[in-house]
Order: sequence, then C-alpha cells, then structure tokens
Amino acid sequence: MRVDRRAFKGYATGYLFILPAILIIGLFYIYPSINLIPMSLRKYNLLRGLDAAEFIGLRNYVKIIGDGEFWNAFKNSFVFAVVVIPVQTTIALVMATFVNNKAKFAPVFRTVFFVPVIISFVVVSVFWKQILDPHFGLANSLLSLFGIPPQGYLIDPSQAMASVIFVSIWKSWGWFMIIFLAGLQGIPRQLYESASIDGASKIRVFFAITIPMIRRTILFVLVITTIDAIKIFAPVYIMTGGGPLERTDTVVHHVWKTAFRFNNMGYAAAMAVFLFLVVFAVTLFELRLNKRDY
Amino acid sequence: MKRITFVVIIAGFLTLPLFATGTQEAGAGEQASTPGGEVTVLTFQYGEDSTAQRAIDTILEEFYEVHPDIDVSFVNVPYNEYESRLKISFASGDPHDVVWMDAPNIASYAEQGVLHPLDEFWSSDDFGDLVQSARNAMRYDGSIWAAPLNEANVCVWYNKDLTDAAGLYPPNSLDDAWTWDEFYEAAAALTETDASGQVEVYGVLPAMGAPVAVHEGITFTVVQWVWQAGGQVLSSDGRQAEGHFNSDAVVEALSYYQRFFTEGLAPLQDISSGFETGKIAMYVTGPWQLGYMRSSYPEFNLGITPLPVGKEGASPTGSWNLGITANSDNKPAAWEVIHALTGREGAAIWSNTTNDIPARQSAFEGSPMFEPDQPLSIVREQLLTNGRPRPVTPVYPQVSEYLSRAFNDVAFGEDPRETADKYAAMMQDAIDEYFGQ
Repeated sequence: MRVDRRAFKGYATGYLFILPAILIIGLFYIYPSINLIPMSLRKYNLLRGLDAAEFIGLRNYVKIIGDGEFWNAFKNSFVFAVVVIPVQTTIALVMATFVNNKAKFAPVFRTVFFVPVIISFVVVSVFWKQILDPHFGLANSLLSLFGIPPQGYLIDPSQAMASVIFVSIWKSWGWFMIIFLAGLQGIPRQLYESASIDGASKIRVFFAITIPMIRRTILFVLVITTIDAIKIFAPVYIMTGGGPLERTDTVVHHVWKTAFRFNNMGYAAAMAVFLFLVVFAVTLFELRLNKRDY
Repeated sequence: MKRITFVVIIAGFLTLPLFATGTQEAGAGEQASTPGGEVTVLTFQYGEDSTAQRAIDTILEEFYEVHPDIDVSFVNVPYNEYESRLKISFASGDPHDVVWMDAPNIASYAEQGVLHPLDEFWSSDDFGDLVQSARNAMRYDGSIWAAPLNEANVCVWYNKDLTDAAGLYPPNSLDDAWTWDEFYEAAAALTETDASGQVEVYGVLPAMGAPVAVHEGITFTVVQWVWQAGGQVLSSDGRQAEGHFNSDAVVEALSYYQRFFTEGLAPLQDISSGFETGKIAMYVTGPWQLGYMRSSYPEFNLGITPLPVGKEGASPTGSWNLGITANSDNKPAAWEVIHALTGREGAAIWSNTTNDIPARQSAFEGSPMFEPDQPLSIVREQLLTNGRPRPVTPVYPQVSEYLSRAFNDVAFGEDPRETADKYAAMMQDAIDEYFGQ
C-alpha cells in the first residue's frame, strides 16, 4: 500500500505528541521492568550495588518455593483480590445504573461518588487511618451512638484486612462506576423502549439488556480490578505496615520490605517477576473468557 | 501497563534521591586549609518547634559565626522512611555528606564501605569523653566510624498519682530494682477494671508501643527481656541465631512478656497518649519522650524506676550517630558540622534541650537533670552499669524485625516456644544467606 506523504506528515506530528509519554513510560516502566530479570538472577545487596552482585542463577526463584513469609503475603493478596473484584465491580455497576438517568440529582451523585477517585491513595489512607483510630476515630464515635462497643479495625488482627479492603473499595469504585456509565450510555435507547413496550420489569431489563450489552465493559473492569487488587501497596504501607501479625502483608508490600528494609534486592526482584507472571497468567485467562463470549 | 506499575514505585524510590542530591556537587570545591563549601546532611523531619530542631538551630547559629564559609543544608526525611531513604542514597553512589545512623547499623554500613572512617578527626582525649557504651558502638574493625548525638536507655516510667493511690512505692535506685515477679505484681495491682470487666487503667505497657507495630522502637524496648532472662539474640560472633534466639531463656522471656497481655494487664492496642492521660500506669520506654511530655503535660506526676532485674540486670543502649559518607567530596567541612553537633558544647546543648541522655561524660556532669536526686539519675546509673548494645550483624534489619514480631506474636497468644523456633530459623536464614552458606 502506498503511503500518502501528507498523511504520513500528519502521523509524524502525532508521534511527536506521544513521544514524551513514550519516553517516560519507557524510562520509568519498561526499562526498570526489564532490568528486574537480570537483578533477580543475582545476589544483589542494595548497599553493595549491582556490579558487586554475584550471579546465582535461579536460586532466588527456588527460595520463593519454601518461603512461608512470601506465601503468607501471596495468600493475603489473593484474599484481597477475591473479595475486592466481585464486591467492587457489583457496587460500581449498580451505582452506575442508578446515576445513569436524567433525574435532576444524578449529576450531583455522579460527582460525589467520583471524588475519592481523584484523591491520592496516600491521602485517602492517611485520613482513613485517622477515622479508624480505635480511640479517637470518627468510626468508633459513630458506633457508640448506637451502643456498639469500639472496634480495633486496622490494629485488630481479625479486622485489619477487612478494613484495608473497605478503604480500597471506597477509594476505587467511583472510577469503575464512570467506566460502566460510559458503557451504559452506549446502549441504544430503542432496546429499552421496545422492552418497556413488551412490559418487561426493571430487573428483567437489567439482566436481559443492560448486562449483555456491556459485557465487554464488564470484562475490561474485571481485568483492571484484578491487576489493581493483586498489586495493592499504598494503603497497606500507610495504614498497617503489613501488620498486625502480618495479616495485611501483601506481595508488593513484602517485595518492598525485602528490597528496601532488608536490602535484598535480588530476591525482591525475583518475587516481583514471579508476581508479574501470576498476574500475566490471570489476565490471559480473563481475556480468554472475553474471546469465548464474542 | 498497569500490571507493571508496581515497578514504578521502585523506580521512583530509586530516582528521587538522585534529584534530591543533584545539586550537592556544586560548591564543594578544592579547599585546602580552612574547610568551606556546601555540606548536605540527611536527617529526620523533626517537628518545626520540636526540641531537637531548637537544639540544631541553636548549635548552627554559633557554627556559622565560626565557619562562615561552610553552607549546611539539611535534607529532612520523615522518621519512618529514614532508614530506606538512607540506604537508597548510599546505593545511588552520590549520598549526602553527613548522615544520621542508628547504632546497630554502623557496623554494617562500615562493612559495606559506604562510610569514611573518622580516626583522622577524633583526638583521643575527646573520644575518651564518650561514655563506654558509646565508645564501643562507634568502633568497628579497628576504626571509629561515627560520632554519637546522644545515648539512649530504657526504664520503667510510672504515674506517681496512680502508684500512690495503689500504695505502691517503686524503687528509686538500681540496687533495689524490682524482680520480674515484683514488677508483674505491681502491674497487676495497678490494673483497674470497671463493673463490667472492661479495663479502665492498664497496669503497664511493657514496650514502647502496643504489639501491633514493627519498628526499631519496639525492638529497643523489648530486647532487655531476652538479656534479663539470661539469653541472647545471636551468638557473640553474630553468626548463629539457632540455639540462641530459641534457647530456653528466650522462651522464658517471651512467656513472661506474654502474661502481661493475655492476663489483661497490658493493652493490645495503642492508646494515644495513654500513659500521659492516666490510662496506662507504667510504661517501659526511654527518655526521648521526656521533652515532649514536659512541654505537653507539665502537670504530669512522673516517676522513673529502673527496669526490673531477672536472672541478670540489663538495659539497651545505642542511639543516633552521625557519620561521613565514603563518597562525600567535602569531608573536612562535614567533620566540622559533626563536631559542632556532637562535640562537648554541642552535646551539652543537645541533651539539655532535648532531654536525651548524653553520650559524653562532660555533658552528664554539666547537666542538672542527672544530679543524684533527679529522676533521670536512674537512667544514668542504669546506662553506665548494665547497658548493652543491640546485636551487631549486617542483617540487623531482619534480626530486628523478627525480634519485634516474636514479642508481638506472643502478646496475641502465639505459643512462645513455637514462636522462638520460627523466628530463630528466619534469622538464621537471613544470616546464612548473607554470608553465602
């Protein structure tokens, strides 16, 4: 196919525009990610530097197999993902349907629900840590109004993970609501009109029209939520530091701790690569589901 | 793209210090006789009106009169991020000139070759002014690597109003220190519950914080239980944790500590200002909080009694110390800054302002706080009598974390023997891996 000179010129300008983004992504995402692989094959102490690091083949990877600390973190991340994916997706979808109408108040709710999304996760974590403080936090003050005894939340080993999950969902669901909203608005009105002529109930319409029409959106949200959930870090680092009793130590937090507290960069890199492979496999599986449906 | 975002965190951490230190090369020139130029100092984010910041400001004011050619700039990092930030700056190869270091880390930094030895700067007379525990902590492998800002130690602080009300009179000299049993009984006597069984006053918080956090402050305030039971964390050469951290003595220390929590004498959760507001009667901690307590709770009726004595008496030592980095290009000026902050005069200003325990004999002698009739005299006596350094090992970060976690875990009811075995094995793994076995 002959390339039209003028069209190419147009493309060149386009490439120029995305060049800064490509450079930044290449330098800060892709280059360090690729570098993880040689790092993971060495006994690399943060303080000694990579040049002094001895090549040890797959020893770091073998170590993962018998490392109870890692599997505890892996289990925590898994629990986090298994709870967050369905709960957050359901909330986002239901609320998107709720605000997807022409009622006067809908835009107000849309904005309110979206506010947590634009706040940094760090800020969200810091203020939820205050709210959930067992002695001075707002949460226990509210409970006491109803005569419920104070709860430990983040520092109670049995409630800590649930608290982190709650805060993460609170922060993130608004974003997925907006994505669902975009999906909902792409559904042709005629479908709803003919359904209402046929006398279908609201619930019937939701399951027979809405859901099938936004299947693709749902799968997209599932994939993104899965990846986000498995790599959760900020709220854990800020609110619990992985505790109490390592009940909230997630894989990425564990990787961070191994690298920057224990100076063991090589092993941390191996765990990061392993996590990448797991996330990659899960994502492939989810995309497969997509293919089968269409 | 999203699936590798976590790498960005690592990349971000790695690059931040590069930007932060990017300017330090300029100005550090070729001074010969009188040091000048720019000196960057990596330290904590002390609060703006904290006593520590006041002490630094006072010292610097004088410093600039003597050394108008040296330009000192501080890079302040939040306390809980300090350690990782320091390591990253070492790893970047372009660290700050002067860094703050916790005592147990000096050896490992020295061994990694990232510090510059200070022997050329110290006069032996001046070095001899340090208290023994500080002198030991500064030395490694035949050289001196740091200068102590202050010393530290741990005592039992108590609320005199509450002990008086309970008819308890804690010992006020090391010779009469409580035994383990007496300390336990005191905690039991001071614990108050209401009609429904809810605890109103906890008898004691037997560490700096509740057993939910893992940080150096916890390690520093629980490690004495190991020593007092006659145990040690690692073998003397630092190569063995198995057979040491899971010895009977350590299991006994863990069991002793556990009782306070499982019997409801100590809180499992942090109670903010719980000691200052009378919700906790006794508190095992160090004098670093004294300055804050005196200014925020001037009415508080504070008593200090020595740590109880188990099979033997023991208390932890070692605080923050200043060193010069191997890659610093302005070492003479860096030393002048260190000397100003930690020399005889600086140390006296520092400890008088912050209420920290001095690491210099001269500062002890000049300070009214440590006179024999003052409560802090006990801290001095204990430090000089039975103070011990935390274990010295290049894998101290792991050892410290596993030690705190062992104590935290038993507080929540884990079996002391199993806990000791578990963490001894984890410490041993870290040691063996480091030494390549």
